[in-house]
This record gives sequence, C-alpha cells and structure tokens, in this order.
Amino acid sequence: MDTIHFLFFGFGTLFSPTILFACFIGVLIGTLVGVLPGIGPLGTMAILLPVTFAMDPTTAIVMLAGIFYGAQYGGSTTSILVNIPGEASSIVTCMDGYQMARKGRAGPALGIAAIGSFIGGTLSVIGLMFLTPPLAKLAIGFAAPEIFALVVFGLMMVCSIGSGSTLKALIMATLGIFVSLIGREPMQGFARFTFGSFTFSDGVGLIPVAVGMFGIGELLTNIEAMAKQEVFKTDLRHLFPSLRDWYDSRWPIIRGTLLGFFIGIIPGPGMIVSTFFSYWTEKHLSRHPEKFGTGVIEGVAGPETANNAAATGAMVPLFALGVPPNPVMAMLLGAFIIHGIQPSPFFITEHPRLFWGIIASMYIGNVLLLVLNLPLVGIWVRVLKIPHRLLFLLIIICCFIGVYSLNNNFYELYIMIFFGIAGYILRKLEYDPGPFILAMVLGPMMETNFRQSLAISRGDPAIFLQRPISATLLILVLLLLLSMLLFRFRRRRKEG
Amino acid sequence: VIALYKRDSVTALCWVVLGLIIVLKATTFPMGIWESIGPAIFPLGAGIVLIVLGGILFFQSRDKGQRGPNERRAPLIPRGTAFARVAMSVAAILLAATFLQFLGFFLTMFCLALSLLRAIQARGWGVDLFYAAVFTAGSYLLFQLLLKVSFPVGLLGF
Repeated sequence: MDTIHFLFFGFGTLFSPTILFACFIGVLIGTLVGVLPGIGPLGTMAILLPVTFAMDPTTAIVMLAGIFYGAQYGGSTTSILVNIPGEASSIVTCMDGYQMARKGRAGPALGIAAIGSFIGGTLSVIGLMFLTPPLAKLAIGFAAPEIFALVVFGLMMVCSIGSGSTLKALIMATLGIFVSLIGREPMQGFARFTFGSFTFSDGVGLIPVAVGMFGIGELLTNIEAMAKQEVFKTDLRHLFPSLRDWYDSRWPIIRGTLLGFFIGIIPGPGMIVSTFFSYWTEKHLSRHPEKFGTGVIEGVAGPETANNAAATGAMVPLFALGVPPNPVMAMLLGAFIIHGIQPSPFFITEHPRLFWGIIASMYIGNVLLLVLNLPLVGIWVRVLKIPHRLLFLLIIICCFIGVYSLNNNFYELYIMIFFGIAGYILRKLEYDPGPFILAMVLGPMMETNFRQSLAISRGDPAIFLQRPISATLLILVLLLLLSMLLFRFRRRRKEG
Repeated sequence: VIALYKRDSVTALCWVVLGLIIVLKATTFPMGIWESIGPAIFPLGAGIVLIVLGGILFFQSRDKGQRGPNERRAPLIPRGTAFARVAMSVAAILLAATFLQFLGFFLTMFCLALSLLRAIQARGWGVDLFYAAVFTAGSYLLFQLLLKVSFPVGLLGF
C-alpha cells in the first residue's frame, strides 16, 4: 500500500512541465544516441552533465536516466536496418533482426523490438519499485567494512564479466583508482600527486576524464574508420507484428524481462550479458533452433526485452546500496554527487521526492519511447542518413564547451584531450575504458571505508572477516580470482 | 602491422614502470599507524597491484607469443588519410583549447568547426565555411545567450 501511495507522490512530483520536458528530452536524446553508432549513453551523459548544473537534482537525474534507458530502445533500429549495433547491448539483435529486414520484415522486427522493450522496461520498473526499498532497509545495517567489501566485489565482477581480457580490465580499474587518488585526500586533507598544481588539488574531475575517454576517444576511433553510411531500404509501413509474431514472441518477452532484470542487478555489463543469455535461452528452448540467425522473431523479441529490463535492474544496487553496478551507473552516481546527493541505503528515506520522481518518470519515459520508436521510426531512419562529419563536429563542440563551462578552467580541456587520446589508444590495445571510470568513481568510497573500518577495529584487519556480509563478499572475490587462475591453468593444460 | 603480443609486452612494461613511480612517490607520503592509516597506503597498494598485474601481462603476452601463431591487428598508428584525419582533429581541439582565451569564444568556435570539417571529411570550401558559420552561430545562441555560459571574449570583444 505504501508503495502505491509513494508512486502517486512520484507522479505528483513528475507532473511539473519542467520535469516532464526533461524526461522527454532525456528519452529523445537516449533514442538518438542509441540509433547512432559510435557514441553511447555513457559519453552522452558525461557531455550533458555540465548542462544539468542549472537544473534542480530531480530534473537533472530524470533527464540523465532517460538517456540511459532510452539508448536501449534506439540501438535496435540500427541493428535491424544497418546490421551495425547502435549500442553494444544490441549486438545480438543484428543476428536475426537484419535477416528479417533482408526478408522484407523490417517493420515487424522494429515493432516487436519496441514493444518488447516497452514491456521489459515497464515491468522491470515495477520490480525496481518493489525491490529497492526493502533492499535499502536491509542495507541500512551496512557499515564501513560491508561497503568496502561490496565495492571490491562490484569492481571485481565488472572486470571479470566484462568484454575482453579480465587482466586488462583489472589494470584499467587499478589505473582508475590511482587517478581518483590524485588531489587532497578526504580524511586528512593531504595533497597527493598534485605536483603543486592548483587544478589537481581538488582532484581530477570525473567529467573531463569521462568526456575525454568516452566522447573524444570514441570519436577519434570513428573518425579513423569513417565507415560508409548505408541504410537498408525496406518497407516501414507495416510495423505491427502479426498474430503469429505475437504468439511466437510472448514467452521470449516474458523470459527476457525476468532474465534481464535479475542479470541487470548483478554488478557487471548486465545489458550485454542479458541479451546473449536471452538469445541462448530462446535458441535452446526453441523447437526450431536451426532457424536462429536466419530471421526469427524470437531472436529479436527476447534480447531486446532483456536489455531494457537489465537497464532498469541496474538501478537497484545504485538506489538501494549507493553502489553502481556498471560504468553508466557510475556516471549517474557522479551526477548525484555533483548535485549534492550521496546515494546510500538512506537515499530513499532522505530523498523520497527524487527516488519516486525517477520511478514515475520511467513509466512515462517508457510510454514516450514506445511512441518515439514505433510511429516515429521513420525519423530515426532519416537521422541515420545525416552525414557523420556533421554529427562528429556537433559532438566535439559539445564536449569542448561542456568541459570548459564546468569551472572555466583551460586545464580541464587539456585533461579531456589527454584522456581522449589515452582512450583512443587504449581501445586499440583492447583495453575497455568502462572499469576505469567505475573505479574512478568508486576509488574514494573504497579508500574512505577501508580506513574507517580499520579505525573502528583499532587497526585489526580481521574486521573484514569477522562480519558475515563483508566476509562472504570478500570470499566470493577470492573464489572469483581462484576460478580465473584455475580456468587459465586448465586451458594451458588442454593446449598442451 | 605489429603483433598484438608485442604491443601487450610493451604496454605491460609501461604499467610496471608507472606502478614503480606511484610506489616511489607514495613512500614520501605519511604512512600512519594501523588504527589510523595514512594517505600513503592506498596509492602504495594501487602501485603494487599495477606492478603485479603489469608483470603478469608481460609474462602472459610473451608466453602467448612463443606458443601460438602471432595474433595480428590493425596498426596502432593509422596510416595515410586515416592518420591525417585523426592527427588534424586532435591538433584542432588542442589549438582551440590553447587559443580560446586569446581569440575568444566566437572566433575559436569558428576556427575549430572549420578545421574539424576540413580534417574529418572536406567538401568544398564554400560548403565547409557555411557549416562552420552555422555551427558557430548555433553554439553561440545555445550556450552563450540561452544557457548563459560565460566564455572569454578575446579579440572580438564578445
């Protein structure tokens, strides 16, 4: 009953023209970046974060969250029509979505992707609404050792499940922690690695680094490649799936929602993992697995539902525990901190207007996205035809002005350029910048809680093992490390 | 074309060196006692972890190089026009950051837009000048007049 009461309170918050407009702009930009390959929600959120400074926190977070879940909708359009995933979480959609387009069934593919996304997105908001408050109540008992262990566990999961080499992900996370240590440390105010620079004394800002790595870095990669823009010409008049399509998609959509939501909660790249898992599940449960990859609607419905459900699921640990499970959520955490809000288990009780406003905005946002992605899909197809050079120029100018306007500091532009070049080179060397940003956000939390834990225990490091939750999480981290070593050892033995 | 394992070996050594620098610098910070650990401990830990991970990557990449066929990837530094596009784009952003205060927002944005258009994919000068002017006016309207972001005025005085 309380939940319904609070939901109405959230809708009351939302029905202000400013917040509704911010929600619309957020999902519109989200769909745009989802449609356009090359720039993702993380980079966009970093670029637009300075623009939110003048807004009140609810308006700002509603817009940024809209970008995040909106991008999951848009990604399918490019996957189906161009065979290039607009988002990493739409890679799987290329397999059957593009094949459906080749068979002249782009309309039903786009239709079921949008409808599945809507169902997955909306049902998982219900999950978020009912699961987060009790989880937060449970986490109120968390002290410094538990939070430290949770942060270590989250980082370890992101590094081990992420794309590419775990070792390289761990290196990136360590570098992120190191960069977060630059500046005056929080407990004694001692300046570390500032080399006498005034700019560095407050630390290296998250926004210049994130805009550099994810904005400039990704753009340089795209500028180097400058792929040809080819959009598949197809009939988009009949978007609504047939009765047969509905029948075939009903279980993939339900399973995709459940899989996506629960995988999204686990720290790691939940959106991507959930799509592969959903596709794998549908293929194995199908009566005709051999047809997967040739243009079956289940191969689009399941994964597209799963990535939207996972995007919402990823918000559970952020709102309930104050710990982001992936780099995009770390950016959202950065936005909270910039607006003077520290997510923690007390977040819902201390900021009910913000939490329930976000929940309500996600219901409205999903409806807006359905409208944007079904009747207006033709507009996004035209967007795909805008010359890349103009889009790249627009993004670079936004990066440049966004970073400068933070503090009117030229050095932050140099920081952005430095991390832009670093991000470009590191991508070529197959290092994923995601763990870097996540570690940069979590680094100070990790250090403060580690130091507080030792202060509580009067210097006894056994405190981490004496408390059941922190001990369990740290043992899981150890098991994860051991399993990686074991896996490598077995693979070497197999290779002879 | 450089084999990937060689690149990994070189970058692994870079991480080891960076880790050593972090450790050496961190030892100059107060260490504290167990009850109240000082600001040196975390950077020291990060440096040591970086050295260890760099070391593992180095041996792993050498091992891969000796055992399997060389994995080859596209060149680290792009060649030909791709290199020109990337290098000119970076140079344009770097120069814009350097001259923003001197030239002011309006001129810097125009020069940045024009040089990026020429660098990324040049069309005719007339087309590029037109788009550069449109982008400059658009960003001036949005950021300076609408969002009231304060920028240096520079040469033109606005």
